[in-house]
Amino acid sequence: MSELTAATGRPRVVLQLADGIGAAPSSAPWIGGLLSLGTRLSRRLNSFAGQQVVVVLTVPSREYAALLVGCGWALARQPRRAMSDPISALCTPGAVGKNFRAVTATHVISGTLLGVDMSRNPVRVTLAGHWAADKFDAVAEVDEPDAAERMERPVPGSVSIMAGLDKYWPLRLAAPAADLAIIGTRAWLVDEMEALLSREGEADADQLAALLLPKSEQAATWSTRVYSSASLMEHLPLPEDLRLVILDGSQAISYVSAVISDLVVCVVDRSATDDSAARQLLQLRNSRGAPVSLRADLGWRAPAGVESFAFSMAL
Amino acid sequence: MSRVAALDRRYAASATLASNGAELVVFGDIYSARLDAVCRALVERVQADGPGVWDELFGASKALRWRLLTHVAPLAVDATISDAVREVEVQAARIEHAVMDLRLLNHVVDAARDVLTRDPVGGRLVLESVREVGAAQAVVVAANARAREALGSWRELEGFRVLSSSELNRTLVTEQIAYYVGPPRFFSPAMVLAPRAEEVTFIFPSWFGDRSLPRSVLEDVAESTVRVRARVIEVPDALRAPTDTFPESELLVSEDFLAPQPLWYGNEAEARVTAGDEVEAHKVLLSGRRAIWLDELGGRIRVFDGGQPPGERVGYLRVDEVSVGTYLVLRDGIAEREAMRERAIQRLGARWPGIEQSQREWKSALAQRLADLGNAEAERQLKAAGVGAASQVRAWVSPELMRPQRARDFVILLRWLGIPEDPFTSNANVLRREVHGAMRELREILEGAANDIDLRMLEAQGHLRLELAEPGYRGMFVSRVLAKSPWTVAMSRSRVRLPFEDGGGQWLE
Repeated sequence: MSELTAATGRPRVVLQLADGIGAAPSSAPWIGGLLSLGTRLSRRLNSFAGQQVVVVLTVPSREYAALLVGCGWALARQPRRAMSDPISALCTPGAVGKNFRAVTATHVISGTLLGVDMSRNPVRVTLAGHWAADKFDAVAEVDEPDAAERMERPVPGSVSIMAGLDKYWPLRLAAPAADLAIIGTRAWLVDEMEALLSREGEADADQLAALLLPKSEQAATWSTRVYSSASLMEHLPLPEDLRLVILDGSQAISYVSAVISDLVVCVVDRSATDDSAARQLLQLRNSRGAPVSLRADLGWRAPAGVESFAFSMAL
Repeated sequence: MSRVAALDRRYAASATLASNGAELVVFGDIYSARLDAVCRALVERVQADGPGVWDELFGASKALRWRLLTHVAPLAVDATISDAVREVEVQAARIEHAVMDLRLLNHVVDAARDVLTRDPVGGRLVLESVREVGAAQAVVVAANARAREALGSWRELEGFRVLSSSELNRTLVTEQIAYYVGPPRFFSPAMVLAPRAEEVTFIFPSWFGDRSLPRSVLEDVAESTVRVRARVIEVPDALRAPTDTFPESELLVSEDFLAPQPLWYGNEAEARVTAGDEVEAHKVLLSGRRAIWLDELGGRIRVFDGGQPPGERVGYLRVDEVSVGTYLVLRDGIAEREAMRERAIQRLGARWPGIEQSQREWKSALAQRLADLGNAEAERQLKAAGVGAASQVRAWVSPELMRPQRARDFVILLRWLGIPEDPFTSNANVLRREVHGAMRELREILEGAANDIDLRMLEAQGHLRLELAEPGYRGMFVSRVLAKSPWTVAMSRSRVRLPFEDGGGQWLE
């Protein structure tokens, strides 16, 4: 996503966001700015030498901020597994009985592999229905079954294409990185995921939900866990395989000490009346943190209206 | 306007305000200035004589002074100022025969009465300002609901939007300039740090001692900031103060002393070192003449947030984050932790005695080790062994805390105590699961009740009962925190979080 930096002198790409299908998009500098933070965090993930890095952003209003950072992250993450030929993967001895996801031209399906009939050509499989295995663009084994058996296959928009994701789109759906969690007011986050992101002037948009792939009852594949801060207590401790956790709002931020992922991004809403979140983070930084420069260490500068700082801590 | 476009306006307004600064229009007003001067003299008197006979008059005078800053509609439209003056007169009459300094007493009453000589100067200024700009470009913001009502009923302001700060946050703002009636201190920092309009003006009298604009808590460490500077414009009073006015007090009195104060009733004296099953607790004054003691290391407490959507309004906040304005969810007669434990014990049934025994065993082993080594050394050793939350070690002894947050910490702790992992970890996990289950149960019941809460009424009153039909959950209510004591008192753990009657917040409501 080097087009997003101005440093090279190439024209900067402007991104736009529409609230949902049918809404007119608006372009604004903070859209690309927040997105690029997520992307840079993904790129520099391994450069922080075993410390936990906490990035704090304060914004005039929390809307979309956490999701945009998450999308930037998602755009830069690689699939969990390498590409393998779908038919060979399903015909491997011992495959039957395991859980798989498969991506067809129109859907993502998920379930237990109940049978493989290699006597037919093309091979027939029983996986959330009956299929000819040559219909699968990608297949991946999953450790835990998904909540839903099938969901519509999302189509990449101008931003995914710009990021090169369309080159391995099916694999990305079958085996997404699944290392992101966003904690906040779940109802608002789910609502904001209907928004559409695109390059200015381009009609093809990416729905934020398609970039983030939230885990839900309707998902046949997922990449992002979304937790409600109000009931987070009941879900602790968080899964150990999270690499980035985004805490949206003061109640979510109050759990920062319970987060052990490599990276944490805290989104503080300046329009909220209480500043306890900012105080807590300042205190954490003063007592346990070493300074981290977003500009020097991440190459990221906050867009206008956004206050930012970062620090690292030993876990 | 689309949602994203409206959001972009907020980013742009914040950037513009940081670049241009906010305007402070401070005006001269000889009458309210005199009232301010007598209030400062009263501070001197109370400091010299100690608490006693002047207290109520002092309270009433401060209340009048406070209202003068936010109620600027003509006296015929808004009775708030006249009512406050009446209260000063009443309190003065009460102590007439008990005080030595009658001169001061008369000055207080005269100054209060003089305030009624003419309509508030601030009101005229607000009117002039908004008329100059026009209704499409100006919005007026009042400091609280009562002030908003009063300004809203002022006919001259018809056609102009008058909002309270919370309303301002919730609506779409297309006006260019927001005029705030009162000093910056009276409004949420969001008004300046996340402005809704590109231009912001505060209008208040020149005698108010605090002209500071809110600053972001993170200003000193942030790489990119949203610092807003003030531009002060002085508007002198047309009238000249008469030369025989009460002399200015020599004492430099901070606005903190002149604001309505909580009454702590001398609790400060009880501070001492905790012993055994005792904790340090802050006193928290609540709306509705109640208070609770809140333990310092107490984990979390249930809060209500009306700003969240249905189903996510009842959450948990860390105890040290509870501050003025937080709405706590409490129960008469019992602390929630107790109730959750009881419910979890119910759910466990026959398994409870074994689990209780298991918990007691490792906790008493820990208590013994702490007694032998001392807290500091134990913490150091645990930290060296790899326990992430070693600083919590003291809290882990208490029966209410089921086990250390992280599984790894628990395992290392048990190893350090020389105790086998099983069955202690599995028992603690079962207990934790049941307590979480009980919490979820209660949260769902509360969320159901929360949907029926009239948010407007809660905001206006400060407290509300929750009508829960379920047996075992009666007596729950929501109440706003009015003040939290800066000091703590040592007390038995059983007293914390139990609401009790207390009038300490009466001046703050």
